[in-house]
This record gives sequence, C-alpha cells and structure tokens, in this order.
Amino acid sequence: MIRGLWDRETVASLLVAAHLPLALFWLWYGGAEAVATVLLAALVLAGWHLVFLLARAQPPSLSGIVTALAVAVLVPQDLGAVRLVLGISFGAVMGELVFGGWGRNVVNPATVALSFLGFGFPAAPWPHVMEPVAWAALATGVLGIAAGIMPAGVFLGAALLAGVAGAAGALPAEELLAGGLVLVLLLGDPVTAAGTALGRWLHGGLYGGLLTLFALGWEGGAPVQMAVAAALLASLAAPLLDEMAITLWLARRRRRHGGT
Amino acid sequence: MTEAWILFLQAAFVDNMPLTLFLGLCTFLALSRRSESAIGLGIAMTGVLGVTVPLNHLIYHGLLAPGAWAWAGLPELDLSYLSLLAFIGVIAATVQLLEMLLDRHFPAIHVAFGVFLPLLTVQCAILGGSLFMVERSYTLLQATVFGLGSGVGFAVAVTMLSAIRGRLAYADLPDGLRGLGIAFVLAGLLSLGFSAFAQMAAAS
Repeated sequence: MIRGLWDRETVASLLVAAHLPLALFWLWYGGAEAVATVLLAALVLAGWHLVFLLARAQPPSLSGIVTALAVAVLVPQDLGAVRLVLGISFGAVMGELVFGGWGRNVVNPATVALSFLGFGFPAAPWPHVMEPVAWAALATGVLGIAAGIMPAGVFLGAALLAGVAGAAGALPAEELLAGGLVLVLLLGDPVTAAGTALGRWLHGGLYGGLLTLFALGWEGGAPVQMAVAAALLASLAAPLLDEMAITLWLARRRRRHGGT
Repeated sequence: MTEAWILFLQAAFVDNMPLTLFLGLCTFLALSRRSESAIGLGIAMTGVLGVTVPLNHLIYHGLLAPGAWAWAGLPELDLSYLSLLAFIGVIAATVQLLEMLLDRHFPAIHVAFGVFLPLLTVQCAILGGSLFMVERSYTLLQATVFGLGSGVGFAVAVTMLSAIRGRLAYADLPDGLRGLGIAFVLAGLLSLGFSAFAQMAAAS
C-alpha cells in the first residue's frame, strides 16, 4: 500500500504510537521485569529483521515493536530467556519473515510465537490481565480506529458477540478482560485481519464465538491462553471469510446487474 | 441427539483428519492450490466418508466380525482378517461411482480433480475412518455421524488452507519454499491452531 505519505512504515509508526497508552500502563504495573522482557523480545526481532534484510533484502519494519510488546504482555511466565528467544524466533520467522516481511504475512507473528510457547511449554503459567491494562487497551483500540489503521469491523464484530455471550452469562469477567486485551494486541494488526467489510465483522465474530466456546468448555484453561488460541484460529480463517464475503458480493451484483 | 452432536464435533475438530491425525495429507496439500478444487475435495471427502463408514460398518458386523455367522451354526468363524480387503473394495466402488457421477454432472470439478479422484481410493483418511469405526466399536448411527464429521472436518481444513494459499499471491517467498514448501508451513500453523480443540478436549 503506497499512496503518497501512506506507505507501510507510516502505518507501522501510527500503530506503534497507538500502542503507547497500553505499553505505558503495562510497563508501569510490570516494573523492571516487564522492561527486560520487552527489550529481549525487541532485540530478538531486530536480529531476525536484520538477518532477512541481509539475506533477502527485505526492509525491516517498525511493526516489530508492536510484535515485541504483544509477545511480552501475553507470554507465559517463568519461561526463561532461552525458551523465550526460541518462541519469538519461531513466530517471527515462520509467521512473518518467510512470507516476505510485514504486510505480506497471513498470520500475526506474535500470535504464532505465543501459541508455540503455550503448546510447547504447557506447564508455564499464563499471565493475569490487570484491569487498568485492559482499559488502556481500550484507549489503544480507539486511537487505532480513529487513525484508520486498526480494523474497526473486527472489533465491533467481536464486541457484539462478546456482549451477547456476556449478557447470557457465558463469558466471565476475566475471560472478557483477556479477550479484550488480545483483541487489541493481536487482532488489531491490519495486515492479518480480514480485508473485506463483511469479512471483518465475521472475523471478529468468529473470534468472539471461539472465545465463548473455550470459556464454556475448556476446563483449567487460562483466559489469556483461550484468547490467544481463538485469535490464531480466527486469523487462519480470515482469508476464507474474505472469500466468502467476496462470493456473496459477486452473487449479489450478478442478481442486481445480470451477467454471467 | 446431544451425544451424536458431540461425536460429530469431536470427529470434525478435535480429531481432525489432516491437522490432528495427519491422515490424507497427500490430497490435502495437492488439491488446496485453488479454492474450487478444495471445495470439491471437501464435498467428495464428506460424501465418501459418510457413505463408506456406515457401509463398512454393516459389512463388518454382518459378515466379518467374530461370531457374525453364529446364525448359520458357525459361531467360531472369524473373518475379521478380511476386513482391510473388504473396506478397500467398498471404498474403491464408492469412489468409482462418485467419479462417474462427477464426470456426468460436474465435468469442471472432475477435470480439477484429475488423477487425485481415483487416488481417493487409497486415501488414508478414508480407510482410517473405517478402521477407527471398528477399533472404537461404533454403532451404525455413530459410524454415520463419525464419517460425516470427519469429512466435514477435512472440508473445513482444506478450504481454510486453500484460502490462505490464495492470499500467498501477495507474498514474497524464498525460492525453496514456493509451492509445496510453504503449504507444509501453513499446514503446520493450521495444525497449531487446531491443537487448541484437542487441548480443550483433553482437559475436560
């Protein structure tokens, strides 16, 4: 996407700026350990971006900062540096860089890294979501939508489904907080969200539905773990949802305007 | 009714044929390049599994299982060693019928399948469905639900993969990963995603 000022890095810097309230609140509550985790994640990501710059001339992206933040906020605790580096490397390389870098990937690298770490080291406890951080995520989401870089349809679709599930008593408060934080951090990525208007609503709705399903049926699962799993499945289904939306649109046009 | 529904969801998502059990990967990877052939494969898998598993159930329990010939005065006769042969025969006949139907009514899908439609005969997911049916001693209703659920799970997985591969038109892949290579990476990511269902089922 290159339209005058609006190249990839403009979007990435706006994305970083929108994440500032969330980052500040989280660092304030997390303290020195949080700073160390996010710095380590950023360092690993910068290293891989550099490798792919040198090997394949892929320009590095500021979006790595957002990925580092998302991983650091949501990663299971007590993993140690080596496993953390392993998981982030897997996510960055297999989730983003082999596809040609940010903007060409189909899944969010942070989502892949978190799912990989959660699946590989199931004994590590997932973090609890603090309420002020979740509220800061709301501010980040509003900023992102106002700047036109985060997919509003995804947020609205997820909010609609979570609202219905919450009203029915199927979505406890803790899952709701974790779901909201993951929604902003992982599904707010404009690259891996569905591209069509209807597809975005469906994408958000699928995320909300999967989260509700996991909240109801997954005994002993941590709220963040459920939300990350729902985010990965929803973003893997996003291209299919787009195709469905386009097929529907084509069928409607054909009915209205005729033609084959 | 609820039990059948749970078995259906279990077969479709928790024990997903290509993504959790890694069965039927050859057609899964080969026919997910274009969405039309992926949808066709999904429908064919659902149809073939939905027909062959209950059919094999009838044949197994009517003719092959130990004691199936007790009514004829042969209670000790055990023909279950023939089950592999019988299952493959039934599957081959079903696939042949399907091929004739497709050739007659949906020639475009028939062309898209190419050589892979006859290969459904020896597709491991389809044979696996019948073998699981024996191993888990399903009833006829359960066998039908299990076959349909496995087929629907396969269809969901293959259409998801084909949609993602369609989006790869925008990607800039390293030379070694173009085509089948990245399909393996994507199948791995899909498998990681579907592992959530297995984790959920294992916990409860």
